[in-house]
Amino acid sequence: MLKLFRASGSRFSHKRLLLGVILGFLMGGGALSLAPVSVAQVPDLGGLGGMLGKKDKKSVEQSDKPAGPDSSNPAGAMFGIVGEMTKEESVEEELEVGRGVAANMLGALKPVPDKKLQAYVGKVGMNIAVQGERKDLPWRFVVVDSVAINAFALPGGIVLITQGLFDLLETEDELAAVLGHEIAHVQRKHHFNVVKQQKMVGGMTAMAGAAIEQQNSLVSGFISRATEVMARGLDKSAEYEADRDGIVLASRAGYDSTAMFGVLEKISASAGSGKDASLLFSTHPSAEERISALGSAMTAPLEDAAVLSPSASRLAAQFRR
Amino acid sequence: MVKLKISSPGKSSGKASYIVNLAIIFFTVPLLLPRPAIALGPGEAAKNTVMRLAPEAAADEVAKLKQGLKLTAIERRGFWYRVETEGGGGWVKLSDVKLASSESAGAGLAAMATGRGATGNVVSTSGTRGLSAEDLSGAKPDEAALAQVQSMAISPEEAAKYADEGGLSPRQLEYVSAPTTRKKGRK
Repeated sequence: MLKLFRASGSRFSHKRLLLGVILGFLMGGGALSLAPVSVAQVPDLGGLGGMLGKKDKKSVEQSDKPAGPDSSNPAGAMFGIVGEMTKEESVEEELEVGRGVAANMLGALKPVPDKKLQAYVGKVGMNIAVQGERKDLPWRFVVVDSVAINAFALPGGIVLITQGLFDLLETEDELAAVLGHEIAHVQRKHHFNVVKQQKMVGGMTAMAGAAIEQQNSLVSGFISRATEVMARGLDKSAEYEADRDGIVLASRAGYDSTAMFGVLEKISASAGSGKDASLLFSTHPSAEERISALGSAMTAPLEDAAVLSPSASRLAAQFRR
Repeated sequence: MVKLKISSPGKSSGKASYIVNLAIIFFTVPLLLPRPAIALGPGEAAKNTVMRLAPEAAADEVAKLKQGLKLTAIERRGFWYRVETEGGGGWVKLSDVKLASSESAGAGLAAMATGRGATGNVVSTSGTRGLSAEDLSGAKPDEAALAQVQSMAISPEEAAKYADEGGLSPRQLEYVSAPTTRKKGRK
């Protein structure tokens, strides 16, 4: 069925793909299979209450597995059965969702018109992305025009970092730490997994009883809800996990394994400085909690990598006066 | 390094290159020195631990710290905090220190006065436009910006070349697991 939609190749093909997926849930009786999904795996479905860390300890253990294909994820498996998707199709769907979410996010956050800056961040980001397991994604690293301090990992490999956060950074190692964290989110499909589960609930209730002509707007409604996942944030355990994976990825590329501490210290210091990190604070554990969690997760090989890289000064040399 | 290109090799004006060199030193030396760092602020010993004379495991012991002992982190070097306690100062492993939070995560605003020097109540952000959850969820799709972003691809080869120019050498490292003994969060 999905093949049919994809073969149409029109410029609305991504919408049709999604429509097909949503219909697939409806026809496959996905509602029944929602039952086994635990609260820990759908952290924010019930609203902000899920963010207050009650289930934090449990889900830290649950998500403690190496990065890579999420075949053991019940949602992924369920999704595969219901939509009868191959792995390739699943990646294609992730890319489609990513493009939809990116178009929305870019509606609020415009790329900074500075080619030198964008190329720099792109090269640093790409060099870290290739240290991971999803080298072949169409990675993009984009500085967006906002004074707020934040960064976003969109499904499929588009990473946005605000000018406000870039301005906070002192070294290329710190930029690498930030990008490593975001790359880790994409590798683990943190946002995409939430989107997929949310699609089952929101998509199905909305689709039930909707006329065909209404379904197109429901698809864009779905993309809007997927965008809200970016605005609402993830479970705390996913952020700790991205912190850990992120420093490993950046350190593999040759950067200082302690650079993330510097970033978190700066984020912490920005609280009360008048800089806007409010969205970041509301979607992440506190910087101090992250420092302490990351500090406790350090291994001897990572401690050995606690050396400022030879390229550390490139950021300031080009972009600071 | 970029600054070097400013002095063209053909012109051997000693004075000019002297100035350029001075400029390079002026700009790069501060980066290489241990930074005074931002004030890290108050906290406590997360567990019974040891304060040392220098930021390394083999350094002499200055004092034993009891879990919960109040301290102030002054600076960080690698995995170590230089801290002040009532009984004196020294270096403590970062993972043995729990810093007080400087933000109120629930409200999403840093309205908490933490007692640390520079950070008090949040000031009005009028004039600098921030970013709210509503800004994102209410945004209208911008297909042109997406097309622009999609055109910004960097090849792995380009990235590798730039890494090489910067003297970066890749390392083999395993992913790390969540610490099993991690303390529960604040709430």
